[in-house]
Amino acid sequence: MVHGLAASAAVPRGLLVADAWSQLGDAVAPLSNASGRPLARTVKLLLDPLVLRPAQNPRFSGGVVAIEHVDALRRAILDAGPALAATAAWFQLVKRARRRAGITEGHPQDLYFQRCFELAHLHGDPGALPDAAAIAAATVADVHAERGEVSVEGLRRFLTDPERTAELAGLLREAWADRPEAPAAGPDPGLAAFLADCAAAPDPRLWKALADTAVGTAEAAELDRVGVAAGYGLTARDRPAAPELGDRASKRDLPRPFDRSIMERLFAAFTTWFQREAMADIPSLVTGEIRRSAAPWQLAEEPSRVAMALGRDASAGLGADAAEPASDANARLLSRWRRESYVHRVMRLPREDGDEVRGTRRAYLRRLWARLHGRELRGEPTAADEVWDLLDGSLRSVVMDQRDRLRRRLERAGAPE
Amino acid sequence: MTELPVTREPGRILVGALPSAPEQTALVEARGALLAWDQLDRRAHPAADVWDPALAADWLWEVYGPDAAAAILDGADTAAAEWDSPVLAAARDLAHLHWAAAWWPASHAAAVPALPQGLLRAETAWRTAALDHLLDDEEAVERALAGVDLGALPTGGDLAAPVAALRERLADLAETYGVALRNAFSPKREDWALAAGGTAAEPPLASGAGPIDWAAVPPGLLDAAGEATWRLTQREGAWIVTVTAPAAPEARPADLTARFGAVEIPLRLDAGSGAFTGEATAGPDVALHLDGGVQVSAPWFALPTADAGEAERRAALIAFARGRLTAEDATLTERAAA
Repeated sequence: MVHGLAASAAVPRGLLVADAWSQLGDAVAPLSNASGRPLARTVKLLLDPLVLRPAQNPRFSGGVVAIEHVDALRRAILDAGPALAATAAWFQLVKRARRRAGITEGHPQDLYFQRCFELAHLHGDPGALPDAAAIAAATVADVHAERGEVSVEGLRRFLTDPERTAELAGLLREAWADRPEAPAAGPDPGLAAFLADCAAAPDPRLWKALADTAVGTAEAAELDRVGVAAGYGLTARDRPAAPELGDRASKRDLPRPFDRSIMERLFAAFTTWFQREAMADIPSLVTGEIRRSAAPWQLAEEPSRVAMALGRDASAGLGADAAEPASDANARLLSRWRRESYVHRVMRLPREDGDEVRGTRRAYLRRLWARLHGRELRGEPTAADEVWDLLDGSLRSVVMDQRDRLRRRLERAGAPE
Repeated sequence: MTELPVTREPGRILVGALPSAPEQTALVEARGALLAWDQLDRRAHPAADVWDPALAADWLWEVYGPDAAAAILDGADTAAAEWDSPVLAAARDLAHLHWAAAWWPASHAAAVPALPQGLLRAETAWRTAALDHLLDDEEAVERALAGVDLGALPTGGDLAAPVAALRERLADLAETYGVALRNAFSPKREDWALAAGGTAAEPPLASGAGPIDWAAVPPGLLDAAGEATWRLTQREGAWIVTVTAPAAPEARPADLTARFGAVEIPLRLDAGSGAFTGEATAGPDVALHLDGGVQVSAPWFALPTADAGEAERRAALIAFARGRLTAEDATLTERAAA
């Protein structure tokens, strides 16, 4: 029980959720951390999309909730209590089934939370079910079977099938021969306007307008000029060129995004994301990827291209000595970067070499591209209020990788990798 | 009660003041704010650099209490925190463990034992998981669990029961987060490199000692209370500089460098003497540089800095660490080291 609600007109949503959650008791412990709070993914995958649904209930969205909606929010969580308790019980059973099946792939919370919520609605509490363990085992088998069909091996077989390679190579040639000359546009003021507010109050109409007027496509025109795409870290070539079909891929030493073969592009997405059930079958994945490779920013959907243009502008000056922020989003990314060097000193990490530092923005744009590419493959649309998470999350991910690299260097006591 | 001044800049709120030097800072990176406790000015509540107030609003009340959090977010210029909660305690513990991983001043000279690294990582992962809902890194728990090696946890002794409980909780976490915990006990490495040079029996023509800048060397290598000593000798007509820096308890081999005037001397861990030591030939003008003293660093790690208050801070932190070993709220890791 959390005491001491502030007597102000609005209450932090986290406080209300924590308070209501604590009233659900031990039954939801498997979905909680040791502090008794719902796990981050419990909020992200269960409470938000399935219980509170801020999209339908705007009164429950945002960091604070107006005092008149406090009871409604609490009631929504308490009403879901039995379903959440059953979800928690199913999660325990499913984890046990996963262990028995010897499965280590993927994140159990990502993979099973929503499945367990479905089981809870279908069967209620598993404690009363004689065949609950069998249902849990079948669920685990089902989740992982879906992943089996679209496999890296299947992809390799398809791409190297001698009956098909000529046809696929032809498709690739045509796609690149037909590349439209992108109109070279001046900088679109909409990008700067969106970057001004996307972290605090993203404007969905502006986001839609940027996509509707193909601003991302227009901004891709510069990539064909010598050195531009290389400057963004997207290729090692002077200018992007048509990729190979490819017949092998390995997680280490993946080339830059635009230099990856069709095989490598799909492989990277296969191994990074464990949500292959959302992906198409292999033939359409391959033809889609061939078309995508010839598209502006080498991405298929306009919102993704707009996001790349936004990321390019928001990341200006990352890794440079001094940078004057050009927008709010840019200022926030630069401030994350500055914070990181403070954290490095406090954590007593080895210094980075100059090339690593200077390569930050290129690493950032590569990471952003890979995330957008993954979203396209999974058919995940990007809404206005997800853009900042994507822009900021890509930098956080680059920074965390950098930290892991420095830690390894520390463990090797400076010996080369 | 903790009284904290609140200052505001565009897009940023500062609660209290972040500790002035890295070595006294105990840090947690929360969603929307850095939380920092000062190890030399211990208070219940941390200073905070709130870089995204909207994100921090979700959990700031758990650290400062609802009233103080509202004051911080709503524009007050001071906040009075009287709050205690399991989340605050977990955050303080995690910050302390982060500090210990970087700056624990293990020393033979000052009688501060090294911390058991396996247990430190395990306890850190456990505390990280308790804060999973407010950390900036969405994969903080997975990352922390990936560093755990169950085989490196102590067995037996007074702490057998709490360590076994920790082991069980980590196994449960590993299953919830889909991380395969390592369980590979690797015995301490005994194949230490022999120090370059032999026993310098020649009487020194000159010698001296100087402090070591600990921000310039990686954690866990050098005795936190130790000084670097140098000797200048003549052997077969050549000038030889020999530098010795006492190793920390349980130090591992590593490449360090001493700089003496223009001479660079590679230092290697010598198991026999428990010190990093090495020697190099100096030019005939070496005698002109004697008062510059010796700087020990690991150039791949960081370059030495000149910092005036460093010696006092270090002495204070050594005293602090010694006190921690018997503190009532000592971590499991500290109790195991004591």
